[in-house]
Amino acid sequence: MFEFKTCKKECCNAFATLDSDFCYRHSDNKEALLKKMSKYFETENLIRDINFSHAEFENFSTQQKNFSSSNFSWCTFRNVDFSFSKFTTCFFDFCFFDNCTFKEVDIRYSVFSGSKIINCDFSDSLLIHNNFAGIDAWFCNFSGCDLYFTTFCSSCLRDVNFEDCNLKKADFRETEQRRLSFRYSNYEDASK
Amino acid sequence: MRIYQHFSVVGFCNTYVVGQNNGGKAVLIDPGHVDNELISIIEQNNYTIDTILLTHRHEAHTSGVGTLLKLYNPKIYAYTRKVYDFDVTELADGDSLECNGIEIEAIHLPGHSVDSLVYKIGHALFTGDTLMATRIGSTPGFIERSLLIKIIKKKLLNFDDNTLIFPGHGAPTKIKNERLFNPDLTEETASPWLRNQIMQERVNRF
Repeated sequence: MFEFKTCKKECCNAFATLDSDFCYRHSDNKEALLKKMSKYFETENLIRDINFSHAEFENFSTQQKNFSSSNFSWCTFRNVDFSFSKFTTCFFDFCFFDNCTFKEVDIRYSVFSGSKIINCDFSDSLLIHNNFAGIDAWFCNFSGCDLYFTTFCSSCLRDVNFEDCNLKKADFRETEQRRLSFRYSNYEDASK
Repeated sequence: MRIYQHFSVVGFCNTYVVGQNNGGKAVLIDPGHVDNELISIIEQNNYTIDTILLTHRHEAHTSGVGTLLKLYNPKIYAYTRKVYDFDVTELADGDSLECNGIEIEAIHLPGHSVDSLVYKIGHALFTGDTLMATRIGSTPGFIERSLLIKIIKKKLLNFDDNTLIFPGHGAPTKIKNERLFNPDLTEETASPWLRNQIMQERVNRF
């Protein structure tokens, strides 16, 4: 698990980032940190115990990587390709995902709660035991996903496809739904 | 410190193994069912289970205790003195213990059951059936439900926003997420009118 060390900046309760005493927002050299992190994404196959919140990532691909026990809360991801990657106990809460690809990913025990997810593709993925509570999803595709024990409670879902999904123990309580498709999915097995 | 999550298909319960990065004595929380996958997590990381923490005595969270006693002979901790046939060390609200450098604090939160404990390890809370992602635990009646909501707000929601929650069932979460999106916890604080207003505001943003 990433280190539970909080930022030394007064009144900041975010976790400190990469070997630093400060979080990304309060670090002196954000650019160098971002460069270091991007290089880490490119070179390492196992991205483990990393804490990197509030950062902005754009136009890159991290295909077939293994993310584990890491925290990327409040980050922005634009045009990022995570396809064929594996995520275990990762925290992406309150993030902004724009035009990202999560094709055939394996995401377990991870948190996307409170995120804004626009134009993203999660198709044919294993999304088991995940927390998507309170998300704003717009033009997203979850078709062909196994969403066992995944919660979308209190979310706003617009133009989202959940076609041919396993929705056993999935949770759609208190959701605002417009133009969703649950074709060929077992929506009756989900909590509503 | 490492936290490994294991899903038991018997009872649909989450079991957690908490240990240091380099192996050694480890803590196991809620042994719902011991299978090959759980044993692999323990053995491949060179752990020996020294401490078992039970969040409450329901079978879905305790049925693996017997197997683990045979394999590792750990010490068991819970709120009550006896859990089925096993002798356990009692923990009260505010008690703390240590295992291989891992500091554990017990918090008593009755409601789902009278013996419900939440364990705090660093910035992580292991909440059992007391608080899950977007749900609170089931209760025998509405009085207990009201008590549970009250005690969660008093004892858990005061923790830092970034505190991680690892529940007995379902996905992990954080304190802030529960404060904002758990309908069971917001229903008493927000009126239906206010909740509709918040929802409408989010809709209008699209």
